[in-house]
Amino acid sequence: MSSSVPLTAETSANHRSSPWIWLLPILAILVALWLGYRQFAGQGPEVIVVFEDAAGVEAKKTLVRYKDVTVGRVEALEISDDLQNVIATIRLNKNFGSQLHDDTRFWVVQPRVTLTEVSGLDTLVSGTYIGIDPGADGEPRTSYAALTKPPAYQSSSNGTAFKLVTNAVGRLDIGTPITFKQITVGELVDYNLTSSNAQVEFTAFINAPFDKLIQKNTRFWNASGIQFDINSSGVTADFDTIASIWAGSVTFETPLTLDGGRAAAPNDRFVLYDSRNAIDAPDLGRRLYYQMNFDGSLRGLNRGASIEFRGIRVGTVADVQVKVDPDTLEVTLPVLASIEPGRLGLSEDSGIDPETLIKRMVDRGLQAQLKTGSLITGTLYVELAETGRSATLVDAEPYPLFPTAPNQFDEITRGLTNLVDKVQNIPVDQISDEVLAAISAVRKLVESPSIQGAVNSASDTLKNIDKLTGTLSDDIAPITRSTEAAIVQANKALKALENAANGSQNWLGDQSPIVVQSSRLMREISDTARAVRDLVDYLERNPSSVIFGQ
Amino acid sequence: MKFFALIFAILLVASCASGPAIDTRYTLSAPPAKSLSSSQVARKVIIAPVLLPSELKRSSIVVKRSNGEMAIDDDLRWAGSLDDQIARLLALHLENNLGNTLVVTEQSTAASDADFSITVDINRFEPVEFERVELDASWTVVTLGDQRKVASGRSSHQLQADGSVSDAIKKMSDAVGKLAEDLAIEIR
Repeated sequence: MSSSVPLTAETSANHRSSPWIWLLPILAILVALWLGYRQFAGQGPEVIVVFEDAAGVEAKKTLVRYKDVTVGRVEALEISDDLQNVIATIRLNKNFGSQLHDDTRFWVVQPRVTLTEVSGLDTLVSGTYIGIDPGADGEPRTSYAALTKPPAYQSSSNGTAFKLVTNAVGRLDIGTPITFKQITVGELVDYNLTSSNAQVEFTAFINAPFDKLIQKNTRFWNASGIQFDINSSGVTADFDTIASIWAGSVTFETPLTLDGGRAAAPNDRFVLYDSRNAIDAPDLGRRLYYQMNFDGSLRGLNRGASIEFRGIRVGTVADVQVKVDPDTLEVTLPVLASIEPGRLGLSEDSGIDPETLIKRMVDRGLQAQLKTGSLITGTLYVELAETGRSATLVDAEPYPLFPTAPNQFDEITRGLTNLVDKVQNIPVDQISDEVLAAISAVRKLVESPSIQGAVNSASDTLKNIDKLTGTLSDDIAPITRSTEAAIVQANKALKALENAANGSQNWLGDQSPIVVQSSRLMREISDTARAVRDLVDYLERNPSSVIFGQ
Repeated sequence: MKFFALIFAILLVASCASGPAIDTRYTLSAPPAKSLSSSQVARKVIIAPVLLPSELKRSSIVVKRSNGEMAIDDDLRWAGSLDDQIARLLALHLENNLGNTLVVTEQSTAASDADFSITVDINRFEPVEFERVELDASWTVVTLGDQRKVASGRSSHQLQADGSVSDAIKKMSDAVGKLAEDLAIEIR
């Protein structure tokens, strides 16, 4: 009995594999793809950050942190081609990648110990990391230049930054606190030279809500160290805070104004004065320069002397020189005046051209006048006086000529000199001689025998005429009466002339009121001169008596 | 620091403070004047402004030291100008010496119609250490009408004082009296 078994079929059945066997590799591939996708999808953007120095930064190890949360990692480090910088490739987390902006900042966080700040000590334990300030403005970039030191404030900080301009850094530094009534309200966060390299511009960051204290007219000054002030009320020593004595500080005040003040805008520029007292010193803002030519001596007028308008300082004497014309030998004393329009209430954003305004004021009588600032030291200052006399601002090179007026002392002196000259020019001797001669002549004339004879002759003539009239017709009678009346008038005139001559003698006599009063006046002037001489003599020997009395 | 400033201010104010000042001034002592009616006046003489050396033209009393130095003591001051005092004192002394002569200073309103004018130039007139007073003066007497010089001369007197200021001032007054006597002899 035989049986047939299909070998092929059996063999075929033995080689057929189960379809499930492919499931595992497929799953593995899917998982790998899924993991790869997840890895790719979870990655944020990659940015290039250029550091000047990357001390402590390591590839694949150094983290990027924002508010102590890891938001990325340094993937690679390489040196730039010029060997000046370190180029770090940083991979940020996906969810942080969208936070990058044009003003995003990176910096290395290391331990920092300064006079005013201790920071980054946590990196002693955790290791160096890279800080990031995502910023707020602009499109993201693929490469950034890192800061050399941590920023004082970040884009998320509450506060406002302002610019402070001063002549030199001095004892100030980044991190110097800004105080208000001894409360620290901000700090200096950066400084740079101005575009002209003539001054230093600090960036000051004022924390909220104190930044609302800053107005357009706020005045900042350097409150570093101790300031001693000796004046008539004694000695005062002033300092802001204990820390400010060695570390320095900046403080500010906002004076009350009639318009209530206007809030300052971010990055507004302010002058950083050297001290509180220097606020009254020359401003650092825009200045207008004029040349003023004064008559007479400028003794007591020095560089730095103030220029005032109605008692308020509006400028400074920038230079005083002597110039001699080699041809005419004419001497001029030009004074260079620096006027600060800001002190006249003409700020740059007021929309008023200060040069035009000053020109108009000159047209209406504004003139420069020297005045004595101190009787003790004899220092002079320049007053912009409203004389009421129209003048002209002359365009000249290099500076316009500002009209000047003689000072009050000069005017008095000039007036007295003119008066004395006029009095001296009166020919007193000649006048008195002539008056006396006239009186004498009149007296001689009156007492002259010839006049007496003439009068007698006239009398005889009248008698004869009288006789004649008796014999003449009635037509001649009126003529005769007129002649007689004329002679009577002539006699009266002669009498009046004699009286006048006698009167002249009376008021020119030794005891006449004029002579007595004049004599007493001269005596008073002499006594006054002597008193002045005594005073000058005493002051020469005791100059301190001006201050401390006799 | 405020405390030290306060102390300094108090010291400063205290140094400036002073009590009410009593200002003592000196004047040459004059003799009693005689009354002279117009009927008794036989002639009239005026004393022209007295000329002082420049070192004496001051309100402070100038004292000569024994070594020749001139000391100016601002605490010793004349009540009026020294030349006026000398002129008035001379006038009074002369009037007392001359009897029926009216002697006035040029400032006087009665200075007109004078017969004579006396000009006095003081060369030296100061106390020496308050122990001695020296007066040296040149003088000229002229008639007022024709300006004729009647007499001229120079007088020097030294009077001893007891070293006190008041006595030295009195001796200065006496020295002017001596000068008046010299003048009276010439005019009489």
